[in-house]
Amino acid sequence: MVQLDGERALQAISEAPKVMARYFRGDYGFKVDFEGPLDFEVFFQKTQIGALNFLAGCGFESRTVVIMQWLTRVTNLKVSCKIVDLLNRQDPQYPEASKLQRRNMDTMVEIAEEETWPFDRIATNLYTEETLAHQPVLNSLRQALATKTRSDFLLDISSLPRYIVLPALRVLWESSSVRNLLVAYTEDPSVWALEHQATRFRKPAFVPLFSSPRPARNFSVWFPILGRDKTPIDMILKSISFGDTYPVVGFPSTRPIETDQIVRLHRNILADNTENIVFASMNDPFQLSMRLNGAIDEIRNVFGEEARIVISPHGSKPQSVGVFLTAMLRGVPLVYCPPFSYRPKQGKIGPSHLYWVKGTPYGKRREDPYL
Amino acid sequence: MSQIRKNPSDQKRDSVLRKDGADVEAFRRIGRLKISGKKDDLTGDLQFMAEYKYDSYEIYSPVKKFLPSLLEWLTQFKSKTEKETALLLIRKLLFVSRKEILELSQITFQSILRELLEEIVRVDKLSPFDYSTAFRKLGPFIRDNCVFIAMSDGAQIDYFRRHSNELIENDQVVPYYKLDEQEVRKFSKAKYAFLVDDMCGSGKTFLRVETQGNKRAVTGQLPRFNRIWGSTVHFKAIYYCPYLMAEKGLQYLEQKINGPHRLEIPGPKLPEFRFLYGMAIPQDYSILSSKNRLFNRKERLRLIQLCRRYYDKRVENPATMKGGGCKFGFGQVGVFLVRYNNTPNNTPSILWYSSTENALFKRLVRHQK
Repeated sequence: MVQLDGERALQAISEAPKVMARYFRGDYGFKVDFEGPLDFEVFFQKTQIGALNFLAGCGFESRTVVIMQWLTRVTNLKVSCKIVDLLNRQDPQYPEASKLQRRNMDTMVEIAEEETWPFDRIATNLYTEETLAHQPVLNSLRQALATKTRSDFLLDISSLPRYIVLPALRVLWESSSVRNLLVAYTEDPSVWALEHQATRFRKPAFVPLFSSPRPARNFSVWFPILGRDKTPIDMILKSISFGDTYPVVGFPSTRPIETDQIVRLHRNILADNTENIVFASMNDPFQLSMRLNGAIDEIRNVFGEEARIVISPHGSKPQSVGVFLTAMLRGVPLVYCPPFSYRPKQGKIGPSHLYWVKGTPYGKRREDPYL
Repeated sequence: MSQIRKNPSDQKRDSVLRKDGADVEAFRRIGRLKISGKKDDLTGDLQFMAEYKYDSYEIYSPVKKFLPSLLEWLTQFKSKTEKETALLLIRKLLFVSRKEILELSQITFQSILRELLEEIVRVDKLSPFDYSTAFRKLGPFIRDNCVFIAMSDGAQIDYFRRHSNELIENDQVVPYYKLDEQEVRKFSKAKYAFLVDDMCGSGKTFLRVETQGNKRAVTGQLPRFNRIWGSTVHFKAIYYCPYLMAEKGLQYLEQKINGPHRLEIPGPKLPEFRFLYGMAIPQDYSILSSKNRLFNRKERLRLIQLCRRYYDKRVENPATMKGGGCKFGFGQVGVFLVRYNNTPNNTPSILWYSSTENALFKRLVRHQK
């Protein structure tokens, strides 16, 4: 069976007081697409957010710095930065990656200095065999959230790996100190939604903070979100047996050809499951979440809690945000093969998107368990 | 619900092979054709894709589905390179299945829903981003103010309504926009019209200028809609909502309806006009675009050559000539797109027309004049 990474962390988080108020619930979501910095500036002014906690990764891609640069244009916005340093000397790609990454880190430091923004650089153990890089990030977040002051967070996931993004989102989602939680993502038009920078993968494991508290039951259902790389899906299939599989294929997409590319690539698992394919937007996490919530509810209505549901977020980054929302709303564990290393390609800068997952656009409701 | 087996694709393929003799034979013969380039890369997943979506093309007969049609289509191309180019085209084909169209119908509804939430925030002067209050008002707002009108039977407006989370009621839906005045009057209180369709390619079916001798007339679905509905219903806004929209068509319509040199639409003055759609077909998917992202320069030029060389003039009729002919698709859209129920005429005719009946995705023609 899979490794139980994050089990202890899950326990820790479940002991924390949970006060959730306004968040996406599966009926409507708020997303905005930006053509350029002006749109971003106009949007932020309208939010009336005055102080913002900004969490981003510093990788080797050019898009790493886009959102931080755009934040400088928003007048009267106080920003406090937490930047995850994604380099590690043990990575075989280090010499090449470090040249590109250092440039981005210099830019980020420079911006923070010029704007007099507090700058917290979080070192991680990315690419090492034993540990995953989420722990230092979560520690830093918990420290910041220890204060009772309510604050707003923007998480730029463009350069952050999923095993950091997903647990970080969970900590922020569950914290009563977080009023608004926004997620930003800048596309790389040389790969679009189907990023394939990862070169090698670790064994399948639960995503930290998304492990299963229950032992495996007789009947299990797997929702693999299919992406550009076949390897992790094959690795999961070799390690775990599922009673039924509902492959999730990105559709629609801003690049329509991507859907059939995914289908062709994964034809080994699709050949027996074409009727089971679930289409869910490549670029809209809310739509994906609604689709998955509906499918999970149908399965649970028939089989009750006996049906153990697992999702594997190997599709696009926005789809992973949608998977996060479903995991929170339906209590589903996530199994994932974290990458060992990435091809250090600078890439290009495409359009940016923002997904508002918690806060102002969503109302409090009577049925909320934490109110 | 089945257990997952290791290598299920092989078993599936075997059973498919046994079942469909004509398909197997056609696939074998395709394998024997002389084709330049990496033949295995080009033909390796044809059987899978045939079964997954291409065979569902509704114009096919049960005995001649995708693979036999492909074999016949490929044999018309004279050289090995032309056959390779034709197979390359199939590899980058945009085939939209029925399941995908239905998915787009729901996505379009979600876009409409977001737009309406924004509108309620505006109209009711709610605080910015107070979608929570707007969402509570959404049901009554739709019931009191909105009408959803199909522009063609492809809109599958019934499915659209059924998947609206019960927000749209039966009497707010019009199955076809051409109604008599008495029927239109029933919607006289509506403020927002949503014109739903399955596809917009060049935009010229929706709006175009026709010249006959010295006379110049603005025509198409929009002027017709405006004449029928405009004098009876005073809309605050009209939304055009195709499930699939080519960027070329969007740019054209934006320019002709909202641009500085907009056309004068016959009938009453148009209210605010906006566009919402399920999926856009990027302009750089056109073989006529030098920035094409699907094919490299050499492949693109070969495709253009193929479209020219195997273009059959007999495809044209007065209706197609209004959009500049079909060599690269009506309205020069130049995208290889096939819809499960018919191939749009915006697709280059090489894919859908042949006077010798060997078109790969034969098109059923609606208008000859």
